[in-house]
Amino acid sequence: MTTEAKNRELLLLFFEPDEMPNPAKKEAFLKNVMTGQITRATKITLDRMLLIQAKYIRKTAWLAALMILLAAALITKGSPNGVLQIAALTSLLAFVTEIETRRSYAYGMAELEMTTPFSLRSIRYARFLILGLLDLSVLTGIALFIRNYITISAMLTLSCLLLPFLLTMAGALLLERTAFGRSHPYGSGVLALLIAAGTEGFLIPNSTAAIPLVVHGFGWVLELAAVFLLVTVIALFCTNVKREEEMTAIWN
Amino acid sequence: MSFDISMQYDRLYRYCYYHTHNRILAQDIVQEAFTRYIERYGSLDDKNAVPYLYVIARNLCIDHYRGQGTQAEKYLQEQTYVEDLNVRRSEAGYSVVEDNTQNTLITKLSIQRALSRLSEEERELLLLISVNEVSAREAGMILGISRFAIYRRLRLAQKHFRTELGKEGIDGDY
Repeated sequence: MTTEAKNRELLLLFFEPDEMPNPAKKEAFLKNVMTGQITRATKITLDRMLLIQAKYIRKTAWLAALMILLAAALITKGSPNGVLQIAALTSLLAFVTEIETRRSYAYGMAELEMTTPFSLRSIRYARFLILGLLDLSVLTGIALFIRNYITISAMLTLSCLLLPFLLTMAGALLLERTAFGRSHPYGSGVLALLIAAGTEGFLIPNSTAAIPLVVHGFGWVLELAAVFLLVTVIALFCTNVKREEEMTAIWN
Repeated sequence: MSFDISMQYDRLYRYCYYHTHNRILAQDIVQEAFTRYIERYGSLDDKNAVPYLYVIARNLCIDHYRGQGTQAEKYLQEQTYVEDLNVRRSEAGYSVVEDNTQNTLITKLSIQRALSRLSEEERELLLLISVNEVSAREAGMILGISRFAIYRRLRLAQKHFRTELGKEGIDGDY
């Protein structure tokens, strides 16, 4: 017997498992492999994944966005000044978005969603992205409607529309973290109404004459505030998703 | 190239069992490794199937025992090994020291002591190549080193192992 063979014999003596694998389990598994029950996973592209997630967003969320856009179009047609009131309603759009992003968490779906081919985080981000794009489209639509009636730049107009929206989102996301927010999912609705009322009375007054005073003087501040709030909302959302993942893992 | 799935299953199980020393866990890891491989690459009739399976299995073992120290290292500590062996033998209805198995037990203990003085990489090489008959090319892929380095390190590992066995009094027949 060669030295290598002798070594192998000795090593086999040591490395041979004391317990052999469960034969029934092994046989069942090998049968699954042989019969092709375990197959190559179909790779899902990003656009396909977004499309799948878009289907999970409630129809009411799409409808609410569409109704706000339609209302803006109708009011613009009837009264050019009235469209500024619609701008205040963007906070309600934010409320609908926030309710939708937390829906699966509110119904305790996180545990199930963790077992899908996608991670919980990617699902949440995908839905947030879809809703964000929808809201941005609505806000851009409103901005286009009112563009003819005010003399400020498109960027500033969008910032003015974004501010109540982002304020509501930030507030609602912060509320989500509290015990009150978790037990009262519609509590952020009150916040949205308050911000809507405040917006109508202060940020975008219902008078074209007041716009230069409020907006032209502090235009850059409004733009900066919009950017800051946008970053804050994204950061808050990411943190909330991370916390949700951790909480679900702990419960499991 | 034909792939003997049953044989590879057993060899991978041996590899995982050495790293986990848990029958259920080792079998779960083997099946998870096969499933992940098939889901990712499809066919097992690939020349890289064996090294990929080992890499997946090794990573799964590491993931499982991250931060706890490897079971293989714990197992190489004499006390753990002897206790484990005695428990299993008692469960199987043997007395701890029975005539026909006493020599095997002593030899196993000597091998265990000799292996414990080898580095983790040397033990890994011996398990992969000498025991599980993984080729040098495949072992190189698993360990992330060249084939030349594998040959060189394997030769050194075997030499080291023989020297340590000699210290334990196993140099020829046992």
